[in-house]
Amino acid sequence: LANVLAFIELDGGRPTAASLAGLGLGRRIGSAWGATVYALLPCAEAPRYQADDVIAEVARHGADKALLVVAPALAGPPLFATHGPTVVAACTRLPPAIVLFPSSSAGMDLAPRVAAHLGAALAIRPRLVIEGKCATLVRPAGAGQLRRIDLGELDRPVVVTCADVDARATATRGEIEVIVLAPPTHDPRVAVLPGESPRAPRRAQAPLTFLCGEALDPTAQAALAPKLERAGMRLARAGAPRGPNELVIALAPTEQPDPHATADLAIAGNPEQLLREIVATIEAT
Amino acid sequence: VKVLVAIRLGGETSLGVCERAALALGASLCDGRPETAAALFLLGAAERTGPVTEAALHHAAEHVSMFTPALDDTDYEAYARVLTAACRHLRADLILVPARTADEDLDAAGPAAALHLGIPHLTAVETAAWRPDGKLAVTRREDRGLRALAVETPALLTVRATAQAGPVGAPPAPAPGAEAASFLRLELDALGLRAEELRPRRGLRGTLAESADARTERLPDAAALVRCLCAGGWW
Repeated sequence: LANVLAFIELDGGRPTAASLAGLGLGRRIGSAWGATVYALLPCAEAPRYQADDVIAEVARHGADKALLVVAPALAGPPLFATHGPTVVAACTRLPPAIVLFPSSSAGMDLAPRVAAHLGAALAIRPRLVIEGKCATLVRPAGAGQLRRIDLGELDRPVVVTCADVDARATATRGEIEVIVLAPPTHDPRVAVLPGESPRAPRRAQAPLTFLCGEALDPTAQAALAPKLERAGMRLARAGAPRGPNELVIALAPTEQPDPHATADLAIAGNPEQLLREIVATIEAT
Repeated sequence: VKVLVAIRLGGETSLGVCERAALALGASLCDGRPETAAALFLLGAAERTGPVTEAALHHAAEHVSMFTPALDDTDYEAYARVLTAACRHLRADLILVPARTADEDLDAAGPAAALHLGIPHLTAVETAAWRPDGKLAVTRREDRGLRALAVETPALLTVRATAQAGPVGAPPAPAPGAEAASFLRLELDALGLRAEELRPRRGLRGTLAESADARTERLPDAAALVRCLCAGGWW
């Protein structure tokens, strides 16, 4: 039977929402295939094996078994340099058909290198479609196209990052088996420096364009456009040529009819109000 | 010390903000350090004139490119194998890769190449500077802010664009004194690779299909949009 491994990122000792989403996605695949779903728990301190601890929580979210690694070095931010050897050790122990990571800064540091270690295919933030025993990973590929990976047709493992918190699963499981792995050594060539993380504004990593379903008031546009530009975003008119790798976000008063059928993302509502909320959110992030 | 900026080109017509950030970081790490030299490596399935021309305006002691149809429809691992071979060929000590590449695999090829090279990697790097002990002081973007780290070279960093990158669509001015350079073209066999070795990686990104499912993803509010942009590596 196949093994499904979900890496659990901990924040204050609790699994992050994106980790539980990955676990939930693994649960759905495991249920369709009859596979065993393992939650990999890299902990700085041993859990207390109580009803509210991390093992009970992954059991409630669909894990059949837990792989537990306890080492003080795992207290820091999850990076491949610190947590990667633990994931590789777990993959050697199982080995898995599918490895799931949260779509987080930690998951994106770990997933590609683990995938390369396994010679695996890699799917970033796919949607899972299950029909009977057929499980397919689906990702937008732009220009009205999708990329589909049929998990049943792969001749190798697949590594997946997941961000869809709706994918979280619930189970009525009580106790689950816990397998304790010896902590491998981390990479000493990378060191986390002490001190608080400095705050710094984020910037768009690719062209992000907002299309508004109705004309903005010129005064509002003059106020909002520079703030968006500082974050690497811009306003454009419907019908403007779309660049490669550009993400288009439609802000339209109503959901139907869709004035921006080619947009990647859309929010229904008053465009000016939505833009003000977006600016406020990105300035606070 | 050789700093290699490696840029993977897809269908774009100009360099993106992450590519420009990697080039700028490479230049800053060489600035005022005569013992440090920059090199530039462009790779892809097909040559893209616009990005190549723009990249040539940046200071680098070496400009190297490799465009081969053997990379067509391959995944991160095929690019990682070419990048690994190129890093060995060019004897790179520090490899800078843009955090967001031309396809949806984000920065997967860089960490995969670091595995094959047996060197550490850090993703989502926003700043890097040499420390007196020869290590690099790095700030990395995490979900809650920036994290300070130190890393020994050789190493590979994937570089994010920062708030200092300037307005959208406005490439930074070329470095003073920089002139358009020509690129030394490499072929696969010069790197000790054969097209057959990359063929098994074809199709692993998934099958492309037209679909009504490729519709717009609807989000409930601004907060959900920002979460989506962060999780997808867009922001």
